[in-house]
Amino acid sequence: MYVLRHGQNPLYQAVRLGLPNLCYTCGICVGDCPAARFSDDFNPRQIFLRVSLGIADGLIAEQSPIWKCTTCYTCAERCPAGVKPVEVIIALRNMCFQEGIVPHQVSKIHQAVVTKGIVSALTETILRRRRELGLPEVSEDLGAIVKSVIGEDG
Amino acid sequence: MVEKRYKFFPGCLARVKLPHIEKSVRTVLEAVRVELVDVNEFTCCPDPVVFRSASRLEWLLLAGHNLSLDGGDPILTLCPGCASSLAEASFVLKNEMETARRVTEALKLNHEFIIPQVSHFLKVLAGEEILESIKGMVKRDLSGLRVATHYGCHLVRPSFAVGFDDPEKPKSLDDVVAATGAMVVEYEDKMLCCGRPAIDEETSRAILEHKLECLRDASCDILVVACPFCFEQFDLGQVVLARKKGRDYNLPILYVSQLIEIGMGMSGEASWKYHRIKPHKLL
Repeated sequence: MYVLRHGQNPLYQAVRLGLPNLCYTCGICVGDCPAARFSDDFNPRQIFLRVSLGIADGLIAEQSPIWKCTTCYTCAERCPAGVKPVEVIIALRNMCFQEGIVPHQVSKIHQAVVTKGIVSALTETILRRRRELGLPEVSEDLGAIVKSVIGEDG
Repeated sequence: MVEKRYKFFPGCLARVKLPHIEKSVRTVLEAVRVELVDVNEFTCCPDPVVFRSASRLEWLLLAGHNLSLDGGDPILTLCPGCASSLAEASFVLKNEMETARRVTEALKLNHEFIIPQVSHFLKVLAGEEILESIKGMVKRDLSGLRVATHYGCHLVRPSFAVGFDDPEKPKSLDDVVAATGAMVVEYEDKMLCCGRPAIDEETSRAILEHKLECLRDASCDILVVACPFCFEQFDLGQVVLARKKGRDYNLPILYVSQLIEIGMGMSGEASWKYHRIKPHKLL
């Protein structure tokens, strides 16, 4: 449960980057939204309104509807008000990470990038297939590179 | 004939799971005389769906690393996700001075560091001259082949960053398919996402199932894609749908470069053994 402290919106980061407060609730973001069409609880307009008002309950959670967004950017292309919908969703997801509450498959992929430098491990079968196809070797240092790149500041 | 040099960005999924697609893209680009330079230190782009969800700064740092490697040649990606993530990060680095300062300092980059142009390889193939050269190289008659195209999302969106084709009514993929002589078939919800990036599996599967229903109504022979994630969603996804829901669509999926290889009479068949749904009509 989030409470407003010192009059500040707890979702300020999502407001600053995504500008949901510009929304005038026209709903154009809902019409062709894949996640809205094919699930029961994803409504981008409702999410932007709640973020504007600082109502974070249920949004910063492992089961949050924000994980249903496919980042297809259809809404981003159509919004007449200048909201950056994907920025709102990504900022909310960043907050979930800060709180350590993310779906298992998300932390798994994130960990793979941090430790191996790529989204999943290279298996012996794939290494063999790459050689058969005459493709370049994949460097074994990618994980170390990622660690050094995000290490200092991340 | 056009000759151009690019740093080739193969991305993760093709490198670690679908190397036959990487091979196919390289083969076609070589055939149309595009020179590719490999950069060993290219890491994950980073992935615009999951990795970017972790931290905005980490996303920009890793993108900054990849953008800064190996001189000023433009970057050509195999995957639309990489192109869009790198292009959007470039946009941020060009427009948010304080963020850019933090990233360049952390990466110890020279102040004169110039962000290279980033494009998906389809942008090169769909250019007028290369499109003509593809037409000239087609040896096999594909006029009887009914092909549906799936653009996916990041290939053309967000348009302010990727700046390629029309974000809602693109034509580049259709143009390239038409250049092979195959027949482009329209279908309902063509521009709908494949569903793959939805972290929620049920939503992801529901979107995929709807796309496959629409494609079945269009009675196409194959579906052509330009994204390795869309490829996996449609190819492997059909196996999952068959197992979980008893749905059998049996629609073969080809990466756009594979269709060009077939049209040019190059042996693409060897790599089809890695497809879950085999393109029998072409075999």
